[in-house]
Amino acid sequence: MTRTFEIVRIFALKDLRIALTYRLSFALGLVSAFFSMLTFFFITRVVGHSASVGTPSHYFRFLVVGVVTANILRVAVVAASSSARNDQLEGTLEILGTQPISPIALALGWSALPVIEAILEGALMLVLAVPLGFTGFTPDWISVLLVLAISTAVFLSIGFIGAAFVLAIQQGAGITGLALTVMALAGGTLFPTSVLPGSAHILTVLSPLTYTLRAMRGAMLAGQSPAHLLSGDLGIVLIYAVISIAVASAALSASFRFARAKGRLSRF
Amino acid sequence: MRSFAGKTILAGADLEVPPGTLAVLEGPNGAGKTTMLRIFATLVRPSGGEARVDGYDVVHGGARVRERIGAAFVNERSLYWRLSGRENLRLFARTRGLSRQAARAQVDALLEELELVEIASKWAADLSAGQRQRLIIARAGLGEPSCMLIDEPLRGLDENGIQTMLCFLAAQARRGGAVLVVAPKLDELRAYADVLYRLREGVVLPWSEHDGQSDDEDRFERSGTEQPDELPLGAGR
Repeated sequence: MTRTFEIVRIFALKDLRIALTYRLSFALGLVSAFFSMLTFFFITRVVGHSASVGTPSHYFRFLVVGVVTANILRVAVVAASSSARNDQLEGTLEILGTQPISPIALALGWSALPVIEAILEGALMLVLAVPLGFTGFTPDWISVLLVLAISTAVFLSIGFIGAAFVLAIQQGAGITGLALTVMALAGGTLFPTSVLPGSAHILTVLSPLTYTLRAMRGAMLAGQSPAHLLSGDLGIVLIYAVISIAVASAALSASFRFARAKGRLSRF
Repeated sequence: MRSFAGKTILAGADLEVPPGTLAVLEGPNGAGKTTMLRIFATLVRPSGGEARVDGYDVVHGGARVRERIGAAFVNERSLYWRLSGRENLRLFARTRGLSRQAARAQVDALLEELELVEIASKWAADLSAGQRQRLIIARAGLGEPSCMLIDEPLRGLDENGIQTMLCFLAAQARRGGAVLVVAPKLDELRAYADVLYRLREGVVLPWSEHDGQSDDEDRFERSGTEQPDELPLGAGR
């Protein structure tokens, strides 16, 4: 376990060093976060009077929590497959394949910095949202962190399965992207799931994003305690976490075995 | 043995490199030299036969094998281009499990040994092909592996770089490691190798003086140049 954390730290620092050589894109990301928040604010002014979403203020809070959480989880899903593909295209995957690193440590290392960046960007978006009306509630911050930790584990695992496809067949980012779009549609990121037609209900029930967003909104906007959340939506996310971590670990190991058998670690 | 797309290569390959030996395997392009290295490096699984590193099977003991090897392939893209030479080496020293202090010390020693100190702070992207080649091979020496697998180490190097590289490879063998180098031509490697092999049609054969002489004669005949008085003959240091 210590070795895994060490590998994650080493790769996060490596990615940070490389990211710091692109300072402009980092600054542009911050500016973009500000304008996104402003856009959401004006959208809530337009659509925030329906019965489903309540007042504009209610909808703004609903939207901010949904978008910030979904954005962090989107990064958790795409980070590993995107970094794996980068290493494939840049030619560094082959040498990584000769290093004494476990597949799960490598995948965590690939994801670490992007997820940390997304969390920081999310925190910044919340701060930017305060003067626009993101106030009037008392979050349970322990619950917020717990929801974030468990849901990140679920979505990282989904991303690792995508990375496994990249390693085995040099593609897979599209698969995770599609899964994510469907989850975002059915999970209630931008609107309540109650407005979806009955035929989409099955997707809502199956999507871990549904339970994650409900738990996050409960923790953030209603100040629900960890015990309360774990007995409901967060408990379901936890079950997803146990299953998805096991599946992702097996998929990554199998993909490395397959790539070695076929000699694909040297290909792109 | 390795099969792909209906073709089998290395079907008769039998090779052993004892500790403390610098072995050079020469063979024409496409003979399967790099594939053999990739098999030892666990990047490609053999379709048949057996390959072991320090007694560990490359298929069933892959993780153990990776702890014991240092590999360098002809692929200058295997460096992180927006990290400096030193940062690249430190990164891989840490992935090999070296502590921060040990990584620092070993990277400095390798940079010194391969005469890379002056360019160590430059991005890998800004290095010449020869400098990158030396950096990639320095990386293979991290963690003092018991087996080094080196693909065409002299490619792209100037005269001085070739001498530095040959001394480095010989020193790695003297340290007690098994060093397997593959190359399409023996050239200067011949004078530094402890043992020479040639790969022909999937079979590893001991290299003999006759092989070199006929190769050289052929080469001089083809180019129409005069054969020099002395050819660098003799295997072993």
